[in-house]
This record gives sequence, structure tokens and C-alpha cells, in this order.
Amino acid sequence: MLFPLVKTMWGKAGRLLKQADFRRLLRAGKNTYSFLADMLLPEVKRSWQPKDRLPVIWVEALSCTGDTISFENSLNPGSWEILTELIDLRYHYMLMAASGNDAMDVMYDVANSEQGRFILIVEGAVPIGDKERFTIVGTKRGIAGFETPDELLTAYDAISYLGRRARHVMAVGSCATWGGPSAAYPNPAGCVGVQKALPKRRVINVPGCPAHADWMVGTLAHLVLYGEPEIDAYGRPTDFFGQTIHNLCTRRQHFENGIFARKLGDPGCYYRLGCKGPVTFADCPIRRWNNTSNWPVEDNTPCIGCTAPGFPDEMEPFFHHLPDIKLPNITTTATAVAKAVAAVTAAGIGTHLAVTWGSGHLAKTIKRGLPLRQKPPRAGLTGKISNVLRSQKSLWYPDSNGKWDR
Amino acid sequence: MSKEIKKTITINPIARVHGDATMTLEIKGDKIIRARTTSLYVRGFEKILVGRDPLDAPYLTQRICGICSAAHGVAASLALENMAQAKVPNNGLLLRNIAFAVDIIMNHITFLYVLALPDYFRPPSVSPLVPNPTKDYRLPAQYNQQLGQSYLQALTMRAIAHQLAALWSGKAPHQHGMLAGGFPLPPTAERVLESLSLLAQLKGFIIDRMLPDLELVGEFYPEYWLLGQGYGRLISYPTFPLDNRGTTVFKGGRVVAGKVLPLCPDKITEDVTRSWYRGGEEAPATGHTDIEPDKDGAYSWIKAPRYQGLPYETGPLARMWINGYWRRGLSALDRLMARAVEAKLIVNLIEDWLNQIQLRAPTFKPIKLPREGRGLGLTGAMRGALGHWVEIRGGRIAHYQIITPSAWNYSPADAKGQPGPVEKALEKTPVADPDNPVEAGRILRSFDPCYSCAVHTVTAKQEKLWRVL
Ligand code: SF4
Ligand code: SF4
Repeated sequence: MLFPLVKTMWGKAGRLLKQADFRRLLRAGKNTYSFLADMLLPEVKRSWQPKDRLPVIWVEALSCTGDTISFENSLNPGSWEILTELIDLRYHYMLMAASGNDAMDVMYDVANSEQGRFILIVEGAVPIGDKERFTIVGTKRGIAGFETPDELLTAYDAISYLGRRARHVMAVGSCATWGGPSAAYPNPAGCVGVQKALPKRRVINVPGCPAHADWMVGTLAHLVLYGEPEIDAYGRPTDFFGQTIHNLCTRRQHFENGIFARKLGDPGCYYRLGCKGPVTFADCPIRRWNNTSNWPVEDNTPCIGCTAPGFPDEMEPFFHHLPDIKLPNITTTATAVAKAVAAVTAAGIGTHLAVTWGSGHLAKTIKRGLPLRQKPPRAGLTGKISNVLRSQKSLWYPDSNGKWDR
Repeated sequence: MSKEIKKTITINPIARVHGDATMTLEIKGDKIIRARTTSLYVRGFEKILVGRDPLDAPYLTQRICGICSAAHGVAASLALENMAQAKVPNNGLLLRNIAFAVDIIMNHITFLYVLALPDYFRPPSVSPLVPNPTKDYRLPAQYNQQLGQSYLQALTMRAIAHQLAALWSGKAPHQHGMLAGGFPLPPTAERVLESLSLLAQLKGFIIDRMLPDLELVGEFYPEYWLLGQGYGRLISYPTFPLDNRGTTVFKGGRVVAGKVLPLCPDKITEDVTRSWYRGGEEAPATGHTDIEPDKDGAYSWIKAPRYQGLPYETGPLARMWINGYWRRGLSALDRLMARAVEAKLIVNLIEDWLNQIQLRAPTFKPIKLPREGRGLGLTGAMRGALGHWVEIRGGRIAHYQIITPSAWNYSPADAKGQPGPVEKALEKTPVADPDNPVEAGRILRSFDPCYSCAVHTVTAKQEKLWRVL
């Protein structure tokens, strides 16, 4: 129900609702939208001018198309309303009717005639360097201004060409924001997130695997109506990613009281079964997924931290509460990496535990010990890893010759 | 007869398919004589999986493909359960079937309306549906409008299908309910009721809209009941298990020359003669995926799966044929029709399953994985036969190989020079305008292409740029 509201604000040039109020609404649950939208609806019909929609180019780099699927899952507003009333989606690799040269011509036409006006949305991670050509998104049609001379248009070529000309660049999904599953160790396709590929430009990051439709549509609406939203240090709009899952979780009281699920499918807090809610910033518990029907913890499974930088490597194993660190060959620098990584995840949980230590049943639970499935790694390997890491389960890994070190 | 002109055209990118892809057609006179389909990207999921906790596989492999995520979740869960010889509670199997089946419905609606039908009806003049891909639109205004309305309705219906999937599975795509050992969410009466109500909407759409719309297309584009026939060899895996003894709703099997034959997974191999990988023909349980970018004659990132050395087509048509629900023919339109027929069957199945759920029976039993072992998970996905081969050593994934339906369909030629099923189906297709072969697009899309799934893996060491066609 966000939609009629957006129309209203567009029509009245923001007079009806100030940006601050709009943001408050974005943060609130969906029910607030529908309530307000219903009140404002009659106003909307008179003032809305769909011809002012901003053009959008949606490029797919190395992805699973999950974010497009999720975008289409938006029901209020539905995807058709978005296409006809909020934005002018001129190029989208999967949804558009035309193929080949016809399609490419549309992209270059928008990039040039709408320069400085269009919004670039990137889905998927971007292979760079010598692996740049692992993702080809089209052809260059003999147009000048690219970094490489070749006729095939790589994903990197496309986003750097379009990124220079776009008004806003928005990365959707964890692959586009920080590499995500596409860049998981050993990163076979040499991917990075969009911000890393475009260091000179501000990129609005809408992470998630996939990103929730509301996060994408809400951020788009903000871009269209008020320009850039307030973002955190990772470039995420604070409206959606300002709080941890843990803070908003419906099972938080179970955590406080030390009522933990013992196996998947049990009621209770999923902390002991690997929930990454304490270190994951997103509003899933109150926004809920797919037209508010459910969300992972309510489904009796742990949050796997898909909106966090470093997903999935730093969030694995999913069903244990401590990170799994991928170290190709253990070196001295790897220790530092390990420390940093462990610090991000473990510190978040640790601080929280320390605070709750004395209270409730948690202390007892902790003393009994949290179960670890794997044994600690053998001495030769662990010698080089910090204490933080040693207390967690680590992993063994094949060496460069493909031999298994055990 | 005058000398026929031969020309080669490349279409890049192909819109309305999942993933970046291109196709190259050799056209002589007004016929396609040779076709090559190429995937344009590599991700390397099988390499990524190595070294990880096996229990993570059902979540992680879903990230291979956003539109058939549940299928990978199911195949990975089955592979682990197979390795652990687990006894999964029947209730859990039913719930997993429901969440998976709804994802199939979502896929079929999206595929037919958003991806395939804009080739046959003139879509509304709104970006990104303009410019149109062709001028060959034959539906009279009134029918065109009917399809236009269905298109808009389909956009809502596919979201409703995912809402129903999420109701059971936490979220969709990339469902949290897909786990080895059963299903995490115990059913409640309220959830069952809500599901039935959402399902009624889907059922109404499929019966009142999808089937009649496709019949309409069949009436105005009759030549597609003949075009795009391919090899006529079909393969499908057992789908929707009902118990731990191997009873499934849809049986697996093969079709050769119209006859249904049994299937033995050991006879499946992958050939890499025309793919940018090292090696020859290998079984998936032990096969490798090491890239060789300068390989002579290679033209795709997709490997070529073969059964006893022969290419097979897979998809809902194979599933429906083997189980006896659609046996009219093997053309492009038959593929579309089989999808709609399957969608209708599946909504009825979901309804039955929802009625069979027992409210207080167990749904999940944690599995005990051995330290070392092998597992095989076969299922029918949205686009056909999907297999996961997994091996663990020391409690970690040591080997993971996936053969996706799209690899079967979009495979390149093999050592014997046999082109892949899609390439074969494109051969001999007459084209009206060699510069804009809309016919090729229609036939290619009848397979519901998904290159996200089809592409395999590269090693981290690869340095050189790969050669371009
Ligand atoms: S972030 Fe997740 S949903 Fe998005 S492209 Fe990557 S794997 Fe797919
Ligand atoms: S650990 Fe997870 S399940 Fe427990 S309260 Fe926090 S977010 Fe909720």
C-alpha cells in the first residue's frame, strides 16, 4: 500500500508529507502504509502525473536473478503499478520484450538522452580484472567511451559506462552490494560488489539474498521523491537496515530467558542453532516476507545473515553460531583476516552475551556450554591461528595441489 | 532454383531468459541449418561448495538460481538424506512437496506470461515491453486484450504463489524450509486454511486463464505444433516423494521414439568436448570441472550431459509424457501446453496434500551424517531433471556436482558431434526474416531457458581471457 502514498507525495511535491514523515512510514510496518494510503487515496487520483517517472536501467551482472524475482513479488504496490506509475523501466534483461541489438539500442539511448536523470540498478556481482569477461551482458554497438576496445560488453564495462552517467546507482541483493554468494570463497569468477567496482561513485546498497521487495521499492521511491536516503557506513538505507534482527525479533524474550531451540523445528530462540540475528541489520521480523506472510525465525530456522557484508562466508556454517573462516593457505596475514572476521561476528554476539550474562537463565546455559559439532582443527594448523579462532571450529582445506590436509 | 544465400547472425543478449546468453544461427535461404547456443557467464558454485558444512548445502545451492531455488534446496536435501539413510517423517515430505510445488507454479506462471507469451501477443505499450520483438502478431484485438489482461493478472498471481511458499518456508525465493531431515514448521489449522484460500486463487487463474490462453495461441500459431521438435528423446527424474521407500507422485524415466523406458542414473555422463573445460566424458559422481579457456572448438560454459552417450531433452513435457498426462507431440507448443497441464495437475496435488497433513504428527527429524559418504539427490525441477551428487570427507563437502535441467537442454555438441537438444530443435526451422528470426526466439523460449542454472564452474587459477565465438 506504499503506492498510493507515493503518488500523493509526488503530486503535491512533498508538501503533504515531509521527508521525515515519509521515512517514519518506511520504517513502520506495512499496515501503517495501508491505513495512511487509504486516507490519502482520493487526493492521489487528481494530482498524479505518471509521465514524470524517472527512467531506470536494470543490469544483471553475475547473479541468480533472485532479486528480480523478489522485486516482482511486490504486491502493494504490484509490479505493474511500479512500472506504470513510479518508474520507467526502460531496460531490464529479463523482463523486456526485445532482444539483441534492439535491446542494446534502448540502453544506449537512455544512457545518452537521459544522462544525469536515469537510475542504474545493478543486480549481481561484477567480475573484474582478468576475469572481467566472465560475464557478458551484451554488445557495444560501436559506441565510444568504454574502457576496453572489445565489441562484447562485459558487466564491468556496462556498469562503469552507465555509472558515470546515472543520477543514482543502486545495488540490489548481496551479490551486487559486496559480492555475496557469487564471490564466496574461492571466488571462482573473481567478483566484487558494485561499490568496489565503481570506487568513485556513491552506490546505494540494498543487500539481502534476495533483497526484500519493499527494501528495493522503498529505496527507489525515496530516490525518486527525495533523492538519496540516509545511509550507514556500508551504504545501506538506515530506514530498513538501521536495527539488528535480534533487536526486533519476536523471540527475543526467549533469548533473554535462555529458552533455546535444541533442534530445527523447535520453538524458542535459534541462537544456539546458529542464528545470526544479533549481527545482522535488517527489519525482517517486523516487515516479514512475501506480503507479510512469514519470516525465517518464525519458520523455526535460524537467520543466516544474508544482508550482512561477508555473507555467506562469514555467516557459515549456517547452523552453528560461530563463523566459518575460509583460509586458502594459512599465512600470517590470514591470522589478521581471521581476527577481523571473528571480531565482526563474535564481538557482536559476545558483547550482547556479556551484558546478559548475569541475568536470567542464560548464564546457566552458557556454563553448560554451547554445542560444537566439529572438533577443533589439528595443532599444526591451529598454531598459526589466533585464540579467538581456535575456540571456534575451523576447517581444513585442500592445498593448491588438491590434496586434503587432515 | 537460385543459389541460396547463407548468413550467420548472432543475437546478444537474448531477452526474457534467466541469465546472460547468446545464440548464433547459420541461415541458408529461409531455413536455419545450424544453431549454437552459448552461455555468457560462469559462477563456479561447485567449487564454492567444497570445504563447507554439508548441512549448508540446501541453503547455499538455492543461490544458484533465483527462479528454481526450491528445486536445488530439495535436491540437496535429498542427497544428504540419501547419504545419511535418513527416515524423514512423511508429514515433513508432504510439507516440503507443498513448498516446492508452489515454487513450480510460480515458475510456470512467470515463464508462460512474462517470458514466453510476449512473443505471441502484442504486450501493452509500456517499457520494458516496448520495443516489440516482432511484427508477427496474429491475435485479433479482442483476444489480444484477453491475453493482456491475463498478463497483468499473472504478475499478481506469481507473487501470490510465492506468498504461499513463504507461508510455509519463511521466505521466497531462497526458502528457509528446505532442510535435510524434513520440514521445520509444524502445520497449524490456520496456516492450512490460509494456504487453501491462496491456492484457490491460483487454481482459478490456471483453469480460467492459463489453459484457454494457450489454446488460443495454439489456434493462431498452428505451425508451432510442428516446429522445434528436436531429438524426441526425453528424460525425467522421480518427483515429489511420498515416503522413504521411493514412492513418488511423478515417476522418472526416459522416452525414446514414443516409448517409456526405465532410467539408471549410473549411465549419466558429462562430456566437455565443446565446453571450456578440461577432460573427456566423466560421471558426475567423480567428474571434475577445470577450465581450459583456449580449448579448440569449445563454445560454451555449459557441459554436455548425456545418457548412454545420447543427448536427451528434459522439462515438464518429459514429465507429463512419462506419466501419461500429455502425449500429443514434441513441438514448441507442446512444451508450453505441457507446462500449463502440469500447473493444473500440481495445484490439485497441493490441495490433496494440504488435506492430508496431520496437525500433530512430527515433521522434522535431524539427520546423522557419516564422516565420509556419498549421496545422490534426484528430483524434477521446474525445467526438468535436476541431480545433485555430493561426497563428504571428514565431515566436510569434498565433492559436489550438479547437473541441471538447463544443462541437458542447452548442452553444446559432444565428442560425436551431436548438437544439444535445443540446437537440434532449432535446426531446419524456416525463418521469414533472416535478420530477425523471431521463430528461433519462440522455439528457444519454449524450453524455458535458464542460464543461471546451466553454467558450471571454473578454477580460481584461470588467467587467460576466454575466446569469443
Ligand atoms: S544476492 Fe542472492 S538472490 Fe541476489 S543474485 Fe545473489 S544469490 Fe541471487
Ligand atoms: S538469536 Fe535469533 S532467534 Fe534468538 S532472539 Fe536473536 S534474532 Fe531472534
